[in-house]
Amino acid sequence: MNPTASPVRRQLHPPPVPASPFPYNPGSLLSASDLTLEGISHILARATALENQDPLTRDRILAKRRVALLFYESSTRTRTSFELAAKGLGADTTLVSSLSSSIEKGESLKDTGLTLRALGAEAIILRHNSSGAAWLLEAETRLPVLNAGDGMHEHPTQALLDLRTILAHLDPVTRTCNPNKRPVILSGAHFSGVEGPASPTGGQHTIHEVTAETLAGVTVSIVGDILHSRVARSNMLLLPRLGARVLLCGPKELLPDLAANAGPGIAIERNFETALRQSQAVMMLRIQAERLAGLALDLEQYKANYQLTGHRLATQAPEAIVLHPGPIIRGLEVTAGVADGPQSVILEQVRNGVAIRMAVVERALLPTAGQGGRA
Amino acid sequence: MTALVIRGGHLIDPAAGVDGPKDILLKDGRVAEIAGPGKLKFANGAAVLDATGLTVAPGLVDIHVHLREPGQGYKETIATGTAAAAAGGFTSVAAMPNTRPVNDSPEITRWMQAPERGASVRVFPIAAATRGSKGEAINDYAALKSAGAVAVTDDGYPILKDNIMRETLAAAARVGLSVIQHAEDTRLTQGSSMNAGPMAFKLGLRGMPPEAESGMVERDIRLVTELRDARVHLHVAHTSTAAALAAVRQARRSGLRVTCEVAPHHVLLTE
Repeated sequence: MNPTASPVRRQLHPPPVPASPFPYNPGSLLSASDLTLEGISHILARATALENQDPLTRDRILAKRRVALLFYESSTRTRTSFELAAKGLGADTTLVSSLSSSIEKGESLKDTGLTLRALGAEAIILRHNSSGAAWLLEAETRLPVLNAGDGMHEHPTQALLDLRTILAHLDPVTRTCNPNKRPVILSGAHFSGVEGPASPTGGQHTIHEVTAETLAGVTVSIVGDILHSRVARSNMLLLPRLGARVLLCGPKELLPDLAANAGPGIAIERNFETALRQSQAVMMLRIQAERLAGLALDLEQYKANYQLTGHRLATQAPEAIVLHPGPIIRGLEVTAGVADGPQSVILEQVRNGVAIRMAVVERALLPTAGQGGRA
Repeated sequence: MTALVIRGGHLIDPAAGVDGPKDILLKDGRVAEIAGPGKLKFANGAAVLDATGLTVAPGLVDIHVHLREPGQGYKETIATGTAAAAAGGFTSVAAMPNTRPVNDSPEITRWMQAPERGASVRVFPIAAATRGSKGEAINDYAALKSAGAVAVTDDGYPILKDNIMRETLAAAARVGLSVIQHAEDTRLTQGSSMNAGPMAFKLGLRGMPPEAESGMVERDIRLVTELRDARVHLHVAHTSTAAALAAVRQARRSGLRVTCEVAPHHVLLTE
């Protein structure tokens, strides 16, 4: 310290903020914002290639590699699709869930992670009820960690599979669209429907090389319980980087005004009809009863304002696709008719989940496979 | 007579208005003389401490520490906590009562000050304002004060109820103790881990609205105003919002005995 300067009056300059040290491991996928456009393109391309590959050769890619699934919250889609994805590439998987494991006895996340690593796990797929848990696990184990949902924070593979679903319906002719022209991108003819093939050929309709313009002119509405939704956060970070406009729609209790500041390309539209009219894709979210933390909500009022009904869809957005990350509460955020209807791509999302997660698990364990850099 | 000279340091003594390079002569452990650099006259036998490049200050006082004893010695003990205080230049610390059990009795208050605890610096216990810090029934402040308590608080938790806080302020004033409030309306901060705002939203963390603090500070100041004649002293712990600070400033302007403290992370860590 310079003895002539007054230490009391010295201006305190906080040190410059270091660039994020995360992820430590290039194979990790913690946040949708960790991926560069090149990285996203690579995952999309690998998803299609792996989906189309003969299962008998595909399972040599990660033959006998060890992948642990560590789940502190219940899950159907994410857990099963990650497991099928890893197994589809030939990896051995093991599931540790908070019930029926030493987590019940009070073992910490760190110790559980180190134990899994000592057991030979080469990557950990983590779902946890605390925001940021995946970062902690990665910092402690330095293994590739795939964030399968952390609290109310992020769910990056869900955003990627949602992107893949939207891209499958993007009209390839007009995708380099003029933003002033109403884009006719989601032609009904391209809806593959519940039984339809998941574009098994990869097809000329599927876009793999994404740019900052790929979704220019596309509006995606995310509707419902935004506050508690990691799906919403990952999507609102991912989709605008490809040029999409994200409209957040919901009541104040579930969608605070400051959500619009979460990143570029995000706006709030409280009126559901107004949001629908502008949307080419509508993402409906479940009200997360387990995270309401004492918040009382008038469900009848909520349904009156925000339930996606057949009438609303037909009158306001007859050409939009309807997405939902699941689980669906039929008759609450969507009617059964909409969930099962021709505009719903909900089961297609689930199918895309397996393909995306194959690509992401491969990227975790074969990080040299030209994955592209990260942001 | 032992003499010690501390030479070459930068002396800071806010109470005396000193902030500059000074040499100090101590005799028998007391400051005998302060003079400009090299100006001090002292006997040849005096020990000399070279403080070049160092700050010299009176022993610092931390009025908000957690020494965790009794009950949570695995986190900290009175011996380790006060050793750390001494290493940082703190010669007096006031210890919060959220121990296990809560320090709500003269027995625990005395236990904390016993020589067996091995304290390196002076320990001033702050006793719990209410039984078990549950915010329901106030403790015997006269007994706590005679056992050595210097203030009362339920720190770790707020004193939420208006009537209990009023009773606490009045009873503490009667025996000349300060009341320290952990100003956080826990009804608004359930499960929260940072201040509410765009960053909390982005990180998926529950945020605390500023009103959770400022609302409680404003309520407490209203109570202090009502008890104006009782010479109440309210101290707001770890103030972190502009609105609460403004309320404290306003109260002080109107002559009320209201003080507050801030913590480094609330000042330096911003979004």
